[in-house]
Amino acid sequence: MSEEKKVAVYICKGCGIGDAIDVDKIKEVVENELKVPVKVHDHLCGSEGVNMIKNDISGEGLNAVVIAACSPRVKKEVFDFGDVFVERVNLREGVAWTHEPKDENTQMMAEDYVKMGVVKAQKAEKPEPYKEETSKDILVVGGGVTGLTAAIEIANAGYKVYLVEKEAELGGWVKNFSKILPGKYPYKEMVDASAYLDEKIKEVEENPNITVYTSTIIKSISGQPGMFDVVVSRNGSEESFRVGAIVVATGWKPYDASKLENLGYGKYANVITNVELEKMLKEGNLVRPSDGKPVKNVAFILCAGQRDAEHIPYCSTVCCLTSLKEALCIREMNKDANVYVFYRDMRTVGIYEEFYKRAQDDEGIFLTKGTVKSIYEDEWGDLIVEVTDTLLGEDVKVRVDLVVLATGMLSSMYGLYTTKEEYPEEGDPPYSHIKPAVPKEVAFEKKDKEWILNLQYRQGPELPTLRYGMPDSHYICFPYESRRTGIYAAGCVRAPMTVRDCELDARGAALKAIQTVELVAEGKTIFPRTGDIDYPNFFLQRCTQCKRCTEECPFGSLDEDEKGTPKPNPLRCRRCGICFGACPEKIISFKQYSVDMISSMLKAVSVPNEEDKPRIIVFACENDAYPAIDMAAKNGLKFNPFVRIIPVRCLGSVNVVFIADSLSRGIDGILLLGCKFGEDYQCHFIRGSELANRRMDNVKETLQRLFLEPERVKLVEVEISDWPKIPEILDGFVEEIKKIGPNPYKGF
Amino acid sequence: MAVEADPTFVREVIKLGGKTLKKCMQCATCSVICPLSPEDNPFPRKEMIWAQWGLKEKLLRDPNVWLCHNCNDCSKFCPRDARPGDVLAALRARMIAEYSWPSFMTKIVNNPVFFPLFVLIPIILIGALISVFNLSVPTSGEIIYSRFIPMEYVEAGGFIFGGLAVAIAAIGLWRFWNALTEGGGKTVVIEPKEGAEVEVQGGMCFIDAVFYALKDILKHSWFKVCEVNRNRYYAHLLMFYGFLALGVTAGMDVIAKYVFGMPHLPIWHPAKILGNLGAIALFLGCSMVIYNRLTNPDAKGGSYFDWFFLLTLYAVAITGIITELARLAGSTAAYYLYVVHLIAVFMLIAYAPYSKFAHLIYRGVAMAYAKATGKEPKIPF
Amino acid sequence: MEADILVIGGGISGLTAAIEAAETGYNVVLVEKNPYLGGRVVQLTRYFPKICPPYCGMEILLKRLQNCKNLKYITMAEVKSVSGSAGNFTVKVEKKPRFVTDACTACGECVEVCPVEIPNPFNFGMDKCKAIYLPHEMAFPQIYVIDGEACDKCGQCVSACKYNAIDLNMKSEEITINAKAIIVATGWNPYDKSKLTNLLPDHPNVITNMMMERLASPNGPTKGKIVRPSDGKEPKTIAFVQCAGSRDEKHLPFCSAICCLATMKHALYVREQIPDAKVYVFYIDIRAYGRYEDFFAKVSSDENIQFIKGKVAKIEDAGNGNLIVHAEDTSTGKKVSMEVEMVVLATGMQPSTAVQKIEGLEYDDYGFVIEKEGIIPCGVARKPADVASSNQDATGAVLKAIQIVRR
Repeated sequence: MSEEKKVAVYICKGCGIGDAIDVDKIKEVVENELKVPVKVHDHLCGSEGVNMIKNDISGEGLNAVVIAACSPRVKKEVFDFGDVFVERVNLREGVAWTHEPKDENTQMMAEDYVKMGVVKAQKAEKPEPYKEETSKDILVVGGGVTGLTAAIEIANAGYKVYLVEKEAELGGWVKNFSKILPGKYPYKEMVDASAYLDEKIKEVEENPNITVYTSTIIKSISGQPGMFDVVVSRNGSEESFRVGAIVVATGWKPYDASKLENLGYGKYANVITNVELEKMLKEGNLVRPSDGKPVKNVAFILCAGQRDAEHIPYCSTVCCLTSLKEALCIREMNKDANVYVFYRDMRTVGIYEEFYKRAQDDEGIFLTKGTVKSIYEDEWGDLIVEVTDTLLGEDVKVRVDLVVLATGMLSSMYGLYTTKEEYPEEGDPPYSHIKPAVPKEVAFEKKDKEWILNLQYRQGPELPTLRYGMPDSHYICFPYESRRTGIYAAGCVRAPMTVRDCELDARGAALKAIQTVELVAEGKTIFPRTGDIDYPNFFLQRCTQCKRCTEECPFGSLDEDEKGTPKPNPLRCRRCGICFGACPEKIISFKQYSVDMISSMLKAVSVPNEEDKPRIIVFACENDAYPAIDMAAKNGLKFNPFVRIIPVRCLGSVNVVFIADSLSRGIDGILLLGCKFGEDYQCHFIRGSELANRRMDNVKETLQRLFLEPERVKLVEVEISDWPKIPEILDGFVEEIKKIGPNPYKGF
Repeated sequence: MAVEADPTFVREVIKLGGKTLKKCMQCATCSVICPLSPEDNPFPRKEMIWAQWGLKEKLLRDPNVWLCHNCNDCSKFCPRDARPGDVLAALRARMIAEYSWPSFMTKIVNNPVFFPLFVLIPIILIGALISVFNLSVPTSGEIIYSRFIPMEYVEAGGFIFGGLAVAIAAIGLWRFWNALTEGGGKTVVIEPKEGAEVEVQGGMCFIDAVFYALKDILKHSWFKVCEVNRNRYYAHLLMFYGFLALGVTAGMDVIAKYVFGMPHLPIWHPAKILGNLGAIALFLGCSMVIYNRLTNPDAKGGSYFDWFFLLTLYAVAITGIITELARLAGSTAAYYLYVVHLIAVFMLIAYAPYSKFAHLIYRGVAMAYAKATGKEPKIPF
Repeated sequence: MEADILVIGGGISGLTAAIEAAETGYNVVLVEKNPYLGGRVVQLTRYFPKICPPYCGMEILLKRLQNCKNLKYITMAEVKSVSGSAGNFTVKVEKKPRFVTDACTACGECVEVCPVEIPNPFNFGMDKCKAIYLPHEMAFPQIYVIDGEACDKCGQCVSACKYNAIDLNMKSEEITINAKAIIVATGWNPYDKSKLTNLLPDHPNVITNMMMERLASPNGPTKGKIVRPSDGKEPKTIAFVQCAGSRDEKHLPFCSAICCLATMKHALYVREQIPDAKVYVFYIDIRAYGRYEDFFAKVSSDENIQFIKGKVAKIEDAGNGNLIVHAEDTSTGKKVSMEVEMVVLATGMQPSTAVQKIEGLEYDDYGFVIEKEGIIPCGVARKPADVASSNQDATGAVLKAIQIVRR
């Protein structure tokens, strides 16, 4: 399985470490107890120090080095020795800068950390990538502007594309539009929609890298990134092909205007939606639906059924702009037309303020903020729109031929049955951030009848959604974070946006798809641990089919056989370790991150029998809590020397076994520092901290059975910017533990 | 309020100099920046959207349009370059057109195409006078204008055309006043938010209001508040008092002649000195305004309506001064220049009710009305 | 220096573009003019609408960046000119001296001995730092920098540094980079408030939204306490002035896309810290587009946060450190004058390239970079945008760049 482990330890005395800690003593202890060579250097990150390590690696054949110096977050490039496993022991920020120098407790702390580092390095194995023959082709679902753009851009980068569209023709909604918004400076002139679309369709059809499937639906998708097996049905006949990644660009659907009877829709024939108006404009047939008389006066009601808790609570982003665009189209068709636009806030965001100015300049367009009081028909069949809250200083009443309601956009995924966690068969969604877009019954009614991807995943057939049925990223910094590895949503399916933003979004999702096929071909994972080749192994002989791992994986990477045994898909895996945190049998491990490894580190912590030397294990999320502690150190903050901080990839990878092992060894308390969870969760593995919190609740029951106080285990949500609070959190917990008293298991 | 947007009216206002009005996005910077804008009924933000919608009926009875002294502070700070100051100026022109009688006159007076016609009218009239009465220019002797055109003719002309102008202006005034105060009819009343109709109410009876308005006008208190264009305060002050002084001198001339039998006041006479100072003030004021309009980016432009009045006034001042200088120099050219001067004076007076000159009365009335209704701005006079 | 893709600007867009490109397998060079990567976002306390700290995403980005062996970054480097065409660009870069070498361990000894104080550029001069300084806690690279203009070359830091990391003789150097494609992520500057003459820009208690971010930040000049600059008093009434310079033909004619939401976020900062504070937001249109509407709904449900439709067009000094803001509430048609203890101007985003143009790129009239073959702007170099859409755009820009590289 693995070569012999040759570990050496290097301790740096620089940056105040040597002043605070008796480094030579640590050298002695470690060499005697752990039988590994230890070298001390004044300035390890200097070229002399680094060369020393490099020489030892080649000379001694080291395959793991423990660098006991500064935080693993700094000087990364300096302590990079290729294939050699590097374990960084944080003596500078973690000990010297935050603790009393030359103190017994500080010394013990440093000693423990070095030992923990050594055992970790000893346990680490060399990972081998999961390499399979993968496909680099990409599936684009949806043939609207987003899908077309994605297909063209991917193909132009030299990748093969399958473009699947359920309608008989490509083009999506824009097919029915007459004009689209300008895409470049000065952002004033509308662009002819047909010309725009025809060019795109032509490009798609002429590109040899693109295979187009129209009138086609996806029957099923199974497998994993690089190896997605797609079965499509074109007019009833099935075909299948393999792709490496997927772009979902299935667009939007209009909000059901029949719910807007209060605005006269369905009641008066001349009250129409903006979608219906686009069709009239496209056909050049601007007449009143009621009697076919030409339309002269038009009123646009913006936010119709939007920004409204009763209908769509959000803003559809595009309606202000499209209404202005349609107003201009009407004016182009009829020079005598008067177009009234009643808005709530004019949301021509960013550079599109220019287009607002363009529309304002038209002398036949009349704009005001306003709220519709009532819409009714008079005896001549004209519509009267009464508007209040205007800018004109009083309520106004206009007589028009046509009322256009700017109804909003719903994601095409709205209302679909998506995942088991969004629509569990029993009970409520298991995670507090999940807000199902439609009631469970509605989604279940459509289960197996309506779908988009029909993923053959244990966790459900579609992309998980965020809010309002949109499969968007939850992360501001990472807009293409996807909870289904290798599958990226783009365009209006994920958030309402203009045609122009759809184009940009298509590019982004396309790049992510390309990146996925390239990375998985090398057996590498994608964001956020991009490039990691280490993947979890399942020792299935000992699996009890408890299904915790398959349920808890945030990325749906584990499927199940009939008995409930997990079927790993390493290329879907994102290496967070939540599965190994979930497994009660401890059968899941990475080569360089395992239950065994952390258990050994816990065992390396000294547990003195003295009452004034409590021992607290702190599991800290390596992305937020751990850097916060570093920054506390950088700012000269101090905290108690009884904590032993272990960075973890995610709190979700903290197995309850760690808690039990620690407490049974006499550790007095366990503190978990992880990201915020709930609606605005900050955990980069979606639910790691929430899961940890739930597991700790369960642990507390166990503790009570062992006659241990449940307060010995605590989870605190820490943000990276909470560094000023670090001493308060760490010292506060030690105080709490001191109040409870020492762990009775100490010394056993 | 049932409204119908009226693009025709919008176009009219645009034509009269409000070409930027559609740019307004209703941020209300103008209402805040304007030092004359009242707290409870600020302008010109609301006027801007009315203008965008072409709400003629509301605008034509809006005294705020006249409270504006066109300092263009608003235009300077307008984030959209909608130039509310210009729009209100255009609206004022449009209001004069609306209320002056007969209304077609305003249209043609303010149409540059007819400019030659309006110069021709006084030329023809004077020409007719000369030919009918067989008047001729004296070739020698002391320069006394009545040796060429008897002063009685000029006076008669003054009374006829001046009187006519005053009468016509009075009609306009009356119509404007009705529009401001009457409810119902073909125009609607301006309703502030609470819905209370604007009536002649507030802390002041109308006579007092007129008195105080006059005081404000004489003191130019409102002008003084404008910040962007401080020069305009001095310029307008010069023009106003210059014109007033010339008017007083003209009146005293008549009084001296008919009451005291002194047809020719000597040059050192206080009345004459006043007149000469007035002429210089008028000339300086006009020059400053013109210079300002040509150079100050915040006051630039102006419509034909503005320029017609301004240049006529300037012409009166310049021809008056040159004529007088020629007379004092003893040159017979003074007679010819005198004719030119008379033409300018005619154009100023006879067309006054249709030209920007009418602002004198409309603004005065609007100010008195604003005072009477408690709608005047709270400014530290 | 050779690169497949050159990324100009190491803010959030540039970092995203550089990392995404490198992770896709291309050789990338990233140049940044500041001494640290991260750009504007590291100056922010929190992001809307999640109210989460930008350092969090930055930590991941920097971790990814360090894992990319095919990504090189150069800080304190300004691109001077771009020439050539798609597939073969030559870029001239001026690398300014940092005076501190990579040997720096960020131990901080030098700061103790440095006798020169400068206005802290990271905090918009609201506090002081030494002439040798680490720009902020998470500055990457974690290497100190000397302000070459302020430093009097006394040499005390040189003797204090145990690691020989300071070189006061460092000179600026010119670097030539050959790249196949260029991603321009030059970002933005906060619009210069001193140009907003009607908003009393020189009054100490009239601050900008970016200054507010620094005030609220735990590593800001007040360690995160929101106080007014004139007297350190906790403001109980704060007026936010939206569109301060944006949507203004005389300043920034476009909408800056983020200010409404940033102000809502600031209102939450204030409300969290000062429970009895009253916040007034003066606006023209509230542009909480898309799902940001949820955020607006949340903020506007706070009864101590009042939204007033009407732009503040005049601010007066009340004399006691307070300010009087004037607006017309256009929904009632009445003027509003309000005495408040502090004013925050929501100044907009001016593309950096409006002020500092790079020769060889094309710009529109507002200074945004125009996309052409092989030169792809992203983020605010293309148009005003929030962080999420900047990163979308940056990711997409990589695709356009690799199309050139792969052909």
